[in-house]
Amino acid sequence: MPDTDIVQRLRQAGLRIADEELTRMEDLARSHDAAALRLRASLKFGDEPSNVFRLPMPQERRS
Amino acid sequence: MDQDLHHLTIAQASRMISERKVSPVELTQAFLGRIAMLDGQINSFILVLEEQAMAEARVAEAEIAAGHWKGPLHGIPIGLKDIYNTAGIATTGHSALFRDHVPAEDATTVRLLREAGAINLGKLATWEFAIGGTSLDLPWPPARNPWNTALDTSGSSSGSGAAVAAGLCMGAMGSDTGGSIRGPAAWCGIAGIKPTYGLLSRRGILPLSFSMDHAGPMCWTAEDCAIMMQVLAAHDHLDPGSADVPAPDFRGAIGTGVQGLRVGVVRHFFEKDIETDPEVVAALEASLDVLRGAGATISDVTLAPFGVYGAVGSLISRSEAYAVHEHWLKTSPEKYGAYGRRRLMAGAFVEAADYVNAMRHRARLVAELAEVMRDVDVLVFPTARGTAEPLGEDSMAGPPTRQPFFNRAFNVTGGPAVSICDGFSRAGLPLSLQIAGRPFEDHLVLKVGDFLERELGTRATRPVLSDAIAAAAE
Repeated sequence: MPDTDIVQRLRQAGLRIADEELTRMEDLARSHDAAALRLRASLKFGDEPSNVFRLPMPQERRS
Repeated sequence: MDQDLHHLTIAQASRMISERKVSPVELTQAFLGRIAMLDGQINSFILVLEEQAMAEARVAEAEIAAGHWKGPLHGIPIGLKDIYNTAGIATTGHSALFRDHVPAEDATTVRLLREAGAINLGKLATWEFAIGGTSLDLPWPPARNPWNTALDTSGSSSGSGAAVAAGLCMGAMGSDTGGSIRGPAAWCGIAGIKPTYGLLSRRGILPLSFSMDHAGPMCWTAEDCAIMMQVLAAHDHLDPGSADVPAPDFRGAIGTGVQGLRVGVVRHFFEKDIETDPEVVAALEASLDVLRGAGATISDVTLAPFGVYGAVGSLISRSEAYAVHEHWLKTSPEKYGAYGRRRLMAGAFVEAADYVNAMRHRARLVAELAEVMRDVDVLVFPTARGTAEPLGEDSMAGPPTRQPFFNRAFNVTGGPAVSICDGFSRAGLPLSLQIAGRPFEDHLVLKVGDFLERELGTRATRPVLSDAIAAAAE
């Protein structure tokens, strides 16, 4: 198995896949990285509070 | 008579059953016969429960004959996506990993359908664990699109979409984490609703993403979805995400008109954010004309770019899915298909900070949407950017501007969204429209969907190929 970035990330996570799947795996990892970058670029949270423990969807009927 | 039973809607069939013009046994026999004749072409079922279905039909028939009609699902043949637990019957997730998984209990929604007298014809194909994509390396083949069997159904509720469209069951249960009800509903030309988060129990459904999983019905018409929702919407203390709210009168809202309805069009979704087929846009504009002509007011609204919903949704759903599957991915990765294995493993690469910030961003998107929906009652935009694509292509791959569906926004924000068929392409394939609403106003989006289906007349056109195959087989 080549010692590429994706192989290192898989190894770090304790995962293994066949060599022929590495390219597609890299594509997926790259798309997730891009999604994370997009959010990091658009978020300026500062001291704004947030409640990540409660799901943001309404659990009660809105008045 | 038998030749026509599979083209009845649930509304029509239930009326005939209650008037004793057709019996549950006749109906079930007709569907089982049609499955035997046609399903080899579209692979929508991975398990047909012939004996059990007939036994259930005989019980329903006896109950109705004794004057104990339970309601509009009594004696109606349905199918279940094979992630819904069924007591004593394998629930595989369409995966070798769960090939021998036999639950002891029914999912709550399965129990509700059973108590309402619905007949379970069998377990339906799905993308592996509701995420894997159209895969050719699983124990069962992928479902094919009945409008053209060379084409994909989309997923993950692939068998549900194919079976309903082909007339192999009258309604089906699907699940929707990133569009898995609405995508196959769109490409298969049927109606499918992702209800408000928490309105339907997910207890006993194989989980994928705890904060974005939704159960929901898929039927030929929006009215039939309303009939199923009336049975399915119930608080379940065994699902921590279940909302303790009274169920709306879904069916009572049907047919009450759209005069005065305020419709917001999320035009930037399909004009700027995602490249959309002109035929899809033309059908949407025609639908807006119909609504306008019936007294609705139409205005454009602006939400966050669709790509933001996509980024938030993918980071959250992949992280949560990895949390569900991590153990098996490490110990038995070879038991997954290639698509499922890769998509699930990719969740390992999402950093904790990115997951948390995606959740924070999600709260903002919920607030933004609630603000927009102060001025409009429903939102309208396409379900799919185009018609069904060739079988086996990775429909979820590609750049953000060419993502195939406009679905994720409402998994992220939790409100109801129904997909209906609003026309057909020059090639004769279904086009689709999505109507989304405020949380717990599922009855409203179904009402608008029903109104458009009737005004546009799209429900009179069935897949031709399935009939051609049936004729050839006679």
